Amino acid sequence: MPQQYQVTGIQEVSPEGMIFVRITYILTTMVRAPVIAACFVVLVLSSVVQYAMGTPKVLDFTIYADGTTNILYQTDSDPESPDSTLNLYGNTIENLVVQDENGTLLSSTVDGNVATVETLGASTIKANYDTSDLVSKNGKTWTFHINSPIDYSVLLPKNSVIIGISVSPLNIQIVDGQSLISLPSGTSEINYIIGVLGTSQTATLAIQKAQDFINNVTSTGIQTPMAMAKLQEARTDFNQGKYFDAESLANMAKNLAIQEQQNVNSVPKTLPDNLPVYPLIAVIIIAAGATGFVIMKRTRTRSSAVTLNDIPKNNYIAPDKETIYKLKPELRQDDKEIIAFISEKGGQVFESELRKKFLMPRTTMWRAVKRLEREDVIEIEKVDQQNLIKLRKIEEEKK
Amino acid sequence: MKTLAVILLGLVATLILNGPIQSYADPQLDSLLRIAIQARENLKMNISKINNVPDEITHLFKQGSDETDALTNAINKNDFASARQHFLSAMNFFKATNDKINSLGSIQANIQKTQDVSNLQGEITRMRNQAQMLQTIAITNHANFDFTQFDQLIQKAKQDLDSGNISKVPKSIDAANQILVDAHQYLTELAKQKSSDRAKDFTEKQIQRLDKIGDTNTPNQTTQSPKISSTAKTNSNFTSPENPKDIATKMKKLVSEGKVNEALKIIKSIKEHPK
Repeated sequence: MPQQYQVTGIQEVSPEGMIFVRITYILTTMVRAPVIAACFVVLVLSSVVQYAMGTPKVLDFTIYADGTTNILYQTDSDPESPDSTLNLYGNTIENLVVQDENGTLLSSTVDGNVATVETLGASTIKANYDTSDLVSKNGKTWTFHINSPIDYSVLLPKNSVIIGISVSPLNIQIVDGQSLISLPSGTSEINYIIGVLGTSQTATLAIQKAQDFINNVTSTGIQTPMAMAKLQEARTDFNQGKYFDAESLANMAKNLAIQEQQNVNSVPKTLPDNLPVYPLIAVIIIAAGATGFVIMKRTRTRSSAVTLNDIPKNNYIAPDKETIYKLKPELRQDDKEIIAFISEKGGQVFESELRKKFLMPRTTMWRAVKRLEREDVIEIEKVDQQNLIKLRKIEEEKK
Repeated sequence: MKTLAVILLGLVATLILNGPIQSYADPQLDSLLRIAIQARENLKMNISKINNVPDEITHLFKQGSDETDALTNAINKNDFASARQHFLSAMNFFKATNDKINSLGSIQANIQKTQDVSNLQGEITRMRNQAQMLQTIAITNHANFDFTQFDQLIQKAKQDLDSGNISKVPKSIDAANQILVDAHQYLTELAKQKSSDRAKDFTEKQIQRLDKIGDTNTPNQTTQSPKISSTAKTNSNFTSPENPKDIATKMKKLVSEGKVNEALKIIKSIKEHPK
């Protein structure tokens, strides 16, 4: 009965109250139903697959001024499995702490960048650790690079200025002067510089520097009204948050102080007639003699004492720093500075000397030294319970 | 029919609610503009310090600057898509400009002191954050670790930094860091200690679970039972493989003998080789 299917609408009510449905509509619905069901199955399966593979659910990166990154990594775990493995970001994992959903500490072991956690019934794992492998430095520019399977957040160090970003961020907030950026999953790169210009920190330093200089000049009896006025302007701008202006005004204040000092010094001075010349000469001679005596005594004491910091003399020949730079072009600028310093010191120095030179805390310097050791640029030797850092001959080893 | 209507209404409601969420998730355009302007101003100051600025740098910087202006215009017109495009483009030019400036090496390292201060401040912040986290963990896990000395050392480091006594800061930081290392070690040990108790609890729960499976399975339903891998069998000298009751009995024996780790290996093996 083909005529029965030739109705115009999808549904039509016959005078007797019977409903007729177009056969094509029924067919479409029949075809679509399994497709929808399949979609649901795929959705459910995808969540199961994610669960099984330990994909992170929360991923937060906090970057510090020395490039160390703290990572908060949260993922689900199978409560019926005794342990779970996590693929961590970075190769050097430090300060790893793992907790379950209740904050209970979980025991873990790390092999390379894989952590095995004794979950023992935990359904969520929260790992927190530090790594210095996610941020690299070239010149003054720091680069954070990551490939994340999920959306994540990055908290940049204080006073950092972003000068390049490869993807459009999902969100940006300023938290206590730090940029908190939410980024979409996938590969992304953020380039930033720290404390270059126009930040509160550099402005503070400039003001402090100018103030110190003005104080020095005034202590010699020279008045610096123009410099003081300019410095006051710098302070006013600083308080209004105009750090760029504050910094340049502070620099101007210092320059004005220099000018004012030069102006006074350029006026020719005459010795007063009543100055007692002979006693003055006698005092100078006595002071010089005393200084000479003290210096001689100190020199003798030094030559007789053997200090702990004496670097052992052997047939060690230091490799050239330029060769190292050439063979390792990817080295960070601050690492290059360390190499340059070691090179200047004959190719070997104690770690304590490095800390003193670069004003770095023990941990930061240790990280830098370990980084260079991993790059085969240096080797660490224990001498008198101290770490002696020696430049390695990369070229020879390669041969 | 009513159920279908409710489901449809629910879907529509979800769609309506999702709309505004989507638009809130859009990047905050003012922040994008601020980032671009900050980058521009910093590069401008850097370029002003270079003698004989190469044309390439001037050109790249101008392009970035133009893109920043275009970003401002797009924001004023509420053109989100275009704004995002101009932002990425501006940042690309600024990055290229910065790379070129870096390659010149003409900007002296006159900001060394700033970097020192910045590094030290960063180290203090990092340690404070780490201490806060460790303190929370210690409280949650009823661990008794005293952070008073750490707080004092960090306070001193901060005071020295604020007053310009930078050379004194690393000493306080090192001492404070040692306390953190000790705290970390203490908590790691605690985690290991707790782990053995937790392992026992966990094994017992799994034994109970296997017992239940064993009770529900008839003798003919052994195909539903978990399977133990050959490695686990070797490790635990386990000979009877497939019956959950047998596995549970064996595990109970291992636990009573204090061989919890071997019992755990069996559980792991069951998880790895489910039937």
